[in-house]
Amino acid sequence: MQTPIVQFQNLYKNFGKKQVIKDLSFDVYPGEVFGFLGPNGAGKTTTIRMMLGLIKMTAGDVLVEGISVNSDFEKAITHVGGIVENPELYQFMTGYNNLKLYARMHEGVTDERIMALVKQVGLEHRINDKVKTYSLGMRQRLGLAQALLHDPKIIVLDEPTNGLDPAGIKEFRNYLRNLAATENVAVMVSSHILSEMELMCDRYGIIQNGELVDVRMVGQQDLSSESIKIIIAAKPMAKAGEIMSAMAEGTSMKVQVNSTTLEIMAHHEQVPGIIKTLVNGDVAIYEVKLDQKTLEDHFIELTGGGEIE
Amino acid sequence: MNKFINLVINEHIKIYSKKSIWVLFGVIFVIGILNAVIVNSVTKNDAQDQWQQNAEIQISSIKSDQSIDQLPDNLKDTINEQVAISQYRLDNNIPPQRSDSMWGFVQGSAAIIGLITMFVIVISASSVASEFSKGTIKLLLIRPHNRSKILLSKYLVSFIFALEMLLFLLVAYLIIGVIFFGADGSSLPYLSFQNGGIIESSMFTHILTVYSFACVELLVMVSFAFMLSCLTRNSALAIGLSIFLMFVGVTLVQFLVAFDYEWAKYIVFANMDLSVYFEGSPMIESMTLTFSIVVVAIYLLAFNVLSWLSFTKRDVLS
Ligand SMILES: Nc1ncnc2c1ncn2[C@@H]1O[C@H](COP(=O)(O)OP(=O)(O)OP(=O)(O)O)[C@@H](O)[C@H]1O
Ligand SMILES: [Mg+2]
Repeated sequence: MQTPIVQFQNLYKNFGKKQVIKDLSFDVYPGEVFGFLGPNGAGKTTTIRMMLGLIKMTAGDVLVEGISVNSDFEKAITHVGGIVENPELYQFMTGYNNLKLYARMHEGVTDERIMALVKQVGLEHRINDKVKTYSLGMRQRLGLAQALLHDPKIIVLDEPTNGLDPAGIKEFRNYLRNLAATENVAVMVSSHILSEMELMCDRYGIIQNGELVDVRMVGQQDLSSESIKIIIAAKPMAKAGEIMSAMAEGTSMKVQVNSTTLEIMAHHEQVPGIIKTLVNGDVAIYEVKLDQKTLEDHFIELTGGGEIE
Repeated sequence: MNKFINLVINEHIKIYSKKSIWVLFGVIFVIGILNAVIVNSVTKNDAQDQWQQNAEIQISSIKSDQSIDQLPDNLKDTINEQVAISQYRLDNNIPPQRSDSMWGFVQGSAAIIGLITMFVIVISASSVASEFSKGTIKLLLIRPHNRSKILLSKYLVSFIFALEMLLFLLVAYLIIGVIFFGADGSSLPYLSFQNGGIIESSMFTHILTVYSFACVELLVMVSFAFMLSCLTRNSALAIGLSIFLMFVGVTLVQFLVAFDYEWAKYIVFANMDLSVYFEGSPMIESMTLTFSIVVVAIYLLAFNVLSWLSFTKRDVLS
C-alpha cells in the first residue's frame, strides 16, 4: 500500500466538558477522493479545523507528509489547501486581488498559475469583479482556486457543493476526480449529501457523534453472499408471476407481484437463470434492474438515521 | 520561510482596498481647506499688526494681578513662561507667527491630530476583529505563517497607517498653506521656554516635534484598540469600546486630577502626552518624563501581551 499523505492519529477534542471528537484515526492517500461523511453535528467541521490548525487538539495529532500539524505547523500546512464551511473571501476586493493576496503568502505562485486556475474553475469572465458581486457558487469556485494556488498535496473541502447548481456540481465532481487522477492530489471532501459523495469518492469514512464508525470503498459490496432485489418489468404480468412463483418454490428466493413489475429477492448468480426461465415461458421482458444497496442505505443503517446527541 | 514583508504588504493592501478609506483622507483635506478659508476671512486687519502693544498690555496686567499668587504652582509656572516669552519678543523684536501665514497655518494642523486618532482607532480596532466577523480569518490562518507573524504584520500596518495619516495631514496643510498664504521659506523662529531660558528653534522643527509627540499617543491608542480587537473579535464592539474607553479614560483623569487624587498618574491617559515635560507642565506635579515613559511602556507591554495571547491561543470558530 502507498504511504498516506495525511494521518489522523487518535484525535480528541473537548469543548468544555463535552467530548466532540473521540479517538479518531484514519489515513488519506495520494490520488484518492476521500469522502468524510456524517450527520449534522457529527464533528466533520471540527476535525477539519483541527487538521488546519484553526482549533487546538485536546489529544492526538494530525500528520501531513509525516509532519505534525501540532508541533511544526508552518511546514505541515504548506502541503495543504482548503475551505472551511463557507468560502469567505475579502468582499471589497476583486476575485483576482484575493488570489494575489493568498499567492503572496506562499512561495513561488506565479501570475500564470493564478490565471490558469481561474480558467480551470471557470471564473475568467468575472475575476476582475468585486467578490461582493459574486453568487455563492462563484465564491465556491474562487474558494477552490485559492485552495489550489500553491500546488498542495492534499485539499480539504468542507461541504464544497453547497450552493452549486446541478451542472456546477457535475463539473466540480469531474474536476476533483481529474485532479486526483492526473496530479495525484488527495482530495478530502466532507458532506452529508450521500448520492453526491457516491459519485465523487473512491473511499469514504463515516463519522457519528465524533467517532469513526466505518471506512470502506465506494461500491464495495459482497455480491456473492447477500440477497439483492431484482426488479423486472414484463408482460403479461400474470403469467410472469406464475412462472416465478413456481421457480421460487422450495428455495430462499422471494417473489412479489406488482401491477407492472416483479420484485424478486435472490442471489446475484441466479439472475441469468431467472431471465432465461421467463423468456422460455414466453414472457416479454422490458427491463431488468438490480436494486443495489446505496451508500445512503449503508449510511442510515450505520448511523441509524439517528438523533443528534 | 516565506517573507514576512509580504504579510505587511497584504495588510496594507487590505486597508487601502476599501473605498471608505479615501473618505477619511478626503475629510482631512476638506477640513484643511475650510480652516484656511476661515483664517483668511477672519484675521484680515486684526490685532496681529499691533503685537507690541498687545504684549506690553499682557505683561503689565499679569504683573499687577495679585490673584496669580493663589494659583497652583504649575499654572503659575505656565503664566510666568508666557510672560518671559512675550518679554523676549519685545526685547528682540520677534513678532509672533501670524495665523494667516503659511507656517502659522501649518502649525494649526496640530489641532486635527485628535481626529486622526479617531480614524486610526477605527482602523486598528477592525484590523483583527473584522477578519473574525467576516470569517476571512480562516483562509488567512491556514497559510505557512504562524499566528504571531500574522498578528505582528497587522499591528505594524495599523501603526504605519497612523504615520501615513499624519504625513498626509502635514503635507495637505503645507500645500493648502502655500496656496492660500503664499510660500514662506524663512519662517519666524518658534520660541519656547526650556530649562529656565528662552530657546529659538525653526518653525518646521517645532511642528515635527509636535507630530513626534503625537506618534507616542497614537502608538498607545493603536495598541489599545488593537487589544480590544483581539479580545472581542467583533469590529463594531471593538471600535465602540475603544472610543468610549478613551473618552472615559481622559475624562476620568481630568476629574481625578481636579479632586487631587494622586494615583491618577498611574493611568495611561495621564502619561501619553510627553510634550508637557518640554513645554507646559504635567497634570500632576510629582510626574516626571522618566515616570511617564515607564508607565507608557508598561501599558504598551500589557496591551500587546494580551493581544498576542488572545490571538495565538484561542480556537478560531468563526
Ligand atoms: N464552539 C463550540 N462549543 C461547543 N460545542 C461545539 C462548538 N463547535 C461545535 N460544537 C459541537 O461539536 C459537534 C460537532 O460539530 P461540527 O460543526 O464539527 O459538526 P459537523 O459534522 O460539521 O456538522 P454539520 O454537518 O452540521 O456541518 C456538535 O455537537 C457541535 O454542537
Ligand atoms: Mg460542518
